[in-house]
Amino acid sequence: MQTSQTSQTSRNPGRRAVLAATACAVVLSMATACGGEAATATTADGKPKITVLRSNGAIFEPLYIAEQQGYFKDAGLDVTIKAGAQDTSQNAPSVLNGEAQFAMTDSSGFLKGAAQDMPIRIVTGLQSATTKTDPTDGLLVKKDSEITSFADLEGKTVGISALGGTIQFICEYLVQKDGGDPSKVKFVALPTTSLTDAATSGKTDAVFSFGPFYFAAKDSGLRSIGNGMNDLPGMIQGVLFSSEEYLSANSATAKKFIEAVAKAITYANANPEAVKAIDKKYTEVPDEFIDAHDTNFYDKNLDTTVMRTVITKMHEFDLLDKEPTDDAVYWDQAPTVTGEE
Amino acid sequence: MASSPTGSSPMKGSLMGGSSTGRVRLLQLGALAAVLALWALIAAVGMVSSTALPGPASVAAAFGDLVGSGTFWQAVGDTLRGAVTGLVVAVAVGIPVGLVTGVYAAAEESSRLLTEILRSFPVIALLPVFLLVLGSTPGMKATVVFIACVFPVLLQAQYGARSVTPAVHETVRSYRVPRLLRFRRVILPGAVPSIMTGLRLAATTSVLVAIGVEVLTTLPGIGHMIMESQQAGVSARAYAYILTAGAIGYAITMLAQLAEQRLLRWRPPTHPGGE
Amino acid sequence: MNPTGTARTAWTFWKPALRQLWLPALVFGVLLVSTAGSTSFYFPPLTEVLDVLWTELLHGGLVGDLWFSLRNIVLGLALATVVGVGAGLVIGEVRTLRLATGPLLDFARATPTVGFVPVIILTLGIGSGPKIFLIFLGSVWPILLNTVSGVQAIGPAVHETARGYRIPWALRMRRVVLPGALPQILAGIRVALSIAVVLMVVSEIYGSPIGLGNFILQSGSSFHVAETWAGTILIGVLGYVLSVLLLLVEHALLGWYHQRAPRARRAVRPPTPPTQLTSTERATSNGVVV
Repeated sequence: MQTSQTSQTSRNPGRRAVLAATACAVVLSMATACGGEAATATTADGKPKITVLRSNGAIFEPLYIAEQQGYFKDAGLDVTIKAGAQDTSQNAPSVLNGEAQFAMTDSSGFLKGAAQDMPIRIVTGLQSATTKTDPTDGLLVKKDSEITSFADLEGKTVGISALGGTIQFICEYLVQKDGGDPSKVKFVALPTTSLTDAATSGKTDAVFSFGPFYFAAKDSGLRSIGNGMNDLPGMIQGVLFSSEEYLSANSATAKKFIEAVAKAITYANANPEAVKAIDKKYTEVPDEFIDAHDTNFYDKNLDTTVMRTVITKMHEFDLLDKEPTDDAVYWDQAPTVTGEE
Repeated sequence: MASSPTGSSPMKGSLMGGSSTGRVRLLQLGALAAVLALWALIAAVGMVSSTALPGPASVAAAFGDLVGSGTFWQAVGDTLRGAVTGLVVAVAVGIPVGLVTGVYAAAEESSRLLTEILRSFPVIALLPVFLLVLGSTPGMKATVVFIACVFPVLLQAQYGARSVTPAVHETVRSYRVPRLLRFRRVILPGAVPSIMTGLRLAATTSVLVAIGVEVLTTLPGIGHMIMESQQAGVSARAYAYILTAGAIGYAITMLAQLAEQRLLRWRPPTHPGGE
Repeated sequence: MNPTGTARTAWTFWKPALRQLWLPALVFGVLLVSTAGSTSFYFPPLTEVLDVLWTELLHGGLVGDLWFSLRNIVLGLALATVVGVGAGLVIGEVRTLRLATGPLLDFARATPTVGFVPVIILTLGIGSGPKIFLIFLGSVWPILLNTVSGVQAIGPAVHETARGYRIPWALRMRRVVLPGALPQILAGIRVALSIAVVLMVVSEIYGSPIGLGNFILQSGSSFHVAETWAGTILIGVLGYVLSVLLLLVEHALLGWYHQRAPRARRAVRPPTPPTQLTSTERATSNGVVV
């Protein structure tokens, strides 16, 4: 096999050297980038360094308010807020391996990890379902649908944005409360943007939507049943949690952190405009929608009675493997309250 | 610039036809226009709701907005960085291993089962564990890209090495050419056409996988922006990002083809079965 | 070396089998031993994972899930092959079409299929339909593009010969072009297979909660680590079995390409009942092409 000696760009030693050098440089830069990110400093110039993973949808606004109003600085903390996993229950591993010190999730997201004996604890609430604000989520059906109550969902298909989470729980809970058998309801996961269309086109018999999609769905003619999560007031919708290891070693820092967040919560409830500004900056939700609707009501308190109901029921519905005890759920310095049943 | 002997170029997409370049461009634009028209038609007819499939006009508008914003370029940079690092390592590992397994039947047989199993493995299933072990870092993205890209490169190198005929092997052996030299000067060039195909495949795969990882783990990048736009209901923006991803992949393919042409100038058009 | 009778069959089977199995067996052994007493949350002992896999297969619905996913991936790939090869042959042969659609096809291949999931779910619903379509949409491109480049790679001398003998178009496609492009086509199908397995998992994120991919994703998100690993192992086996089948097909169809003498081809064929070549394929595999 003869090969000609001319124009052999692959043989040119100079070119080959350049290619090799480039390859090495790229690999090295990747290695250093990799190494740099993995460092989790606990102190930098004396101040404790904290990374918080926020949710991607909503409820995270108090964190940014605390940053903007200087509450973290006043408490002597160096806080970085990063967007966490799309499914917030998946923030738990990041908290456990030290990538972040605190993270947001909702009640079922937290319980998923707790039920597997992950050593995580809730440090403060951010928001719970409350009748103080209008419902921003709920069950939706076609106008002419034969479904008029949750009990009618037996044998029907309900579209939700993620299986096994808070939405599936609240649906099953409300079915049971209405006298139906939740195990007879079929749930399917759908992209949140497709929920409205799924109901209108009949692909599913009903959907459970939330946020801007809920309102858009109602506008497009779907009928809503019930008040969504407001039908279980006190159900925790947003929490901050941390790992037991971090909390036992840094309990003073953690306390300062949640106190700063509590101040931000008070501020947020008093200044909805600030909250709206944060939504416009950090979410992709259209501005007109943000202006047209009320902001959430934030509450740092954790209603342990309702949470216990949630835990028991989730276990009953096979959404949880076991029922973690209260001291496996809450940090001992978290603002817990016992609600009236 | 060499023009191909028979007038019908063996290189895909090559436009070295001289005077017919203009005509070809026209044809391509025509095809593009047909596709756009079809898209606009489907969107207008309303077979699918406008949130799911916005028309080309709104996507173009969204794209225009994006190009001006910093977040867009940052996302592009993040995706590319992950894709390129993974690809480079995949090539560095895949080519030598592929060549060796292509030439030595023993090596190929030993590694066959493992390669088959590993390459059929959807890396997606390992993402949760990767997240824990490697954390949510660009390094993790690059690792996943590496795993996805190394196999096409390896297999193509293997195919290419196998296409070197036994006659050549005999000749080289009878001249007692040392092993390393044999690989560098005989096997490698012989396998280069196949390897270039593999590189082309791997390059587009790398971007796709990087985006896939971003979609599933919210590492920063184009995939993350697609998800975020979809979650917020601004699907025109999501599609703009999708098209950006396509454009990037396309640009990479073009570059790879250019490289292919330049490196293979010394070799006449091949057909399967070797020479 | 020509041992006679049954001894020959046994030895010629075991020798290559041993050569192929020693490395994987070693790796398996190492895994078994190194994870034996593991208390790590994310790396449970291999024995526990296998145990869970066994239980799920027997008592859980895993077999049903497996069957569902297998059906989807086979249908999706079959569809992709038919469309990809069909369109690829035509595009490859017709120069105008090839040049006109070249950039478009490259572009299409480079777009992430993942972004189209909402549209697909919306139009096709929540059953197997959208899943099969998603798999098809992602896997058709490597097959199509490889077919086109396979057709192009057929030397001009072949086309001249076919034209010289005035072979009609349809026959030329079947007997000359298709076999000539076959090596590239099969390479494309191998790539498409890996893509299809990934898309199979992605397609099961939404819609009815059945399927192997769904099992893995749900187990992963609820932190059932042993189940996640079990499902992952199963999916690896699934992908492997499919690629072995593909390999068998390749062996049967491409003996001439790998330049094995007819006798050697027969001996190398795996001991399972050899695939009976149809008369057409037998003709082309001894073929005149190239």
